[in-house]
Amino acid sequence: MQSKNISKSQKLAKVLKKNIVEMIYDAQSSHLGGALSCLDILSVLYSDVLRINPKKPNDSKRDIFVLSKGHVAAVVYATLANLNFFNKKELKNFGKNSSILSAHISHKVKGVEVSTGSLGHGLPISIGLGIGHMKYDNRVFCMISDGELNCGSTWESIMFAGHHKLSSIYCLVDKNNIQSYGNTKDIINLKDLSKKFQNFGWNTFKSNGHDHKKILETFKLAIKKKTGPNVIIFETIKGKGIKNFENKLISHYRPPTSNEYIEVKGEK
Amino acid sequence: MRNLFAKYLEQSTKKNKNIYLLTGDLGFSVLDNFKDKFPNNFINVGVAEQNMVGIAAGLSMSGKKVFTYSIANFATSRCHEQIRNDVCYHNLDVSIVAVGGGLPYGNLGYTHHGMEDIAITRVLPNMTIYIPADRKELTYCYKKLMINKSPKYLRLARGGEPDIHHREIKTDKNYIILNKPQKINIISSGTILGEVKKAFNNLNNKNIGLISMPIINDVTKKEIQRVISKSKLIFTFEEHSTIGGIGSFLKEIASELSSPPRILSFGIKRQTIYEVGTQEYLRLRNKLDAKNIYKNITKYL
Ligand SMILES: [Mg+2]
Repeated sequence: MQSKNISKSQKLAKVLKKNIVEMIYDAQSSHLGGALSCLDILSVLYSDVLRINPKKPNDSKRDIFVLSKGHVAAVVYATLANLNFFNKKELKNFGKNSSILSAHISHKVKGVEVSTGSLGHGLPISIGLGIGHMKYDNRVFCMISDGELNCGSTWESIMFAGHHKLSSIYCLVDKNNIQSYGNTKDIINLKDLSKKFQNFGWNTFKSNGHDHKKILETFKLAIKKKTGPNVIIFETIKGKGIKNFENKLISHYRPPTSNEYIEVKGEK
Repeated sequence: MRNLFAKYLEQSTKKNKNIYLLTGDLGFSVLDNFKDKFPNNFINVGVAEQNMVGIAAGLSMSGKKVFTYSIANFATSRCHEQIRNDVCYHNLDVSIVAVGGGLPYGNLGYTHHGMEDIAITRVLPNMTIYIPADRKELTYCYKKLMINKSPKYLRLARGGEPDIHHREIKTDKNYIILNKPQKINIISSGTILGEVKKAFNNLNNKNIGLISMPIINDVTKKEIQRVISKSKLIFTFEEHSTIGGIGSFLKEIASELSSPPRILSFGIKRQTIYEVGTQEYLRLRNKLDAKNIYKNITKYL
């Protein structure tokens, strides 16, 4: 059962990688690095964790996903299209004139709950969603970048969720150790991040962010906890899966070259 | 006014448990009753306005009717991007409620003077601003606000403001006529109407219209355009910067007309922004007291 699930997410991950490289190449857009760093986490999340139904996107009992690092919209759009929230052909319009598929995530796209793009907004909104949906026990998963851990508003919400012991909140940190203009450790070194969350009353979990089996195991561990809030710190590689992008700042900015695009397209 | 607002919100929450009131650690003696009666509908988020507005947005996305409460600048400037992105662009049922609009916290200094709040909220999409002049106008605004499911900014002053209107306000429009609009009109928003009305009474001139405009949005624009297009001269008064406030609002509308009226706007002057004192004193310094309003109007008649 488990191995079958994992292969489902791995299958999705392979498709997503091709999709987003094509979308970003086509639109000559950016932020591929941060999309690749969280692609495996999102593949597992959407394949095996989230209780959502494309036929009932507003079901009051659904789980909610909020992408706070809104600049990697491409990977969520591709995921939603693959899950039939909308037609996959739509992905071709990503970032193009008059398209609703903006390069920062938009709630105008079916299946997207919240628009973001300015950092530090997602976790406060997720908390509101968590409190608002309490009646149905919905779980709210919010993915933040490690750059967002510079934001005061992120810490305001971390303190708040911890104080109120909000058990439906799951913060997913895509810890790729790089932010917009350098390495996180050189800009604001947070050292032991788990400890900081723990001090504010969070349950903390750590996982490799590319090994699907480990990702799923960690999700299951976090969900088993009856208390909260919960944070999973995923160790990831920015630009994962494209040699010239891996662990490089430039992966935040430049689109793939035609060679890189062709190479990814040909991957088995 | 703020006490009446709290009372109304208690009455509404009694009937509607979907109402949430969030405060940024303010409301001592004003929100006490609400807090005690509806602990499940009340959250003190702490001194964290960005988080407060983000949470308000999330709650509203879950179908709640949400109010945030703070002092003007903390309620609007401090968390402006959250109001913009999370509330206004998502077009959510969130009411930003501020006390201290204008100069009621006169001696506390410019951090507590609400002088730009109308300008920075007016520009946001889907937003409606409510600026009641007294308790009767608050009652009128509150009714409209409760059926409005889009973003709202309710700009209150403090408490103990004098009553200006003596009867319940009954109009479908977003503005209130105190004296029939004519070629020359006075338009004001907020509690400054008290001073404006005194000046108007002293003018004893039946050929001047007097309008209070407590609600600002696209509907107001359409409605007031008809008044402006028939005017030759308009005086505007507000306890707000003359940049971006209701004077600017009317000038923007007038500029689209083929023969616009002359519009003279009076508000808080740049020269006085560091001054402190009572609200009465600061109004005097800004020539927003009844005597100076009278003088300024007669100068141009
Ligand atoms: Mg990063």
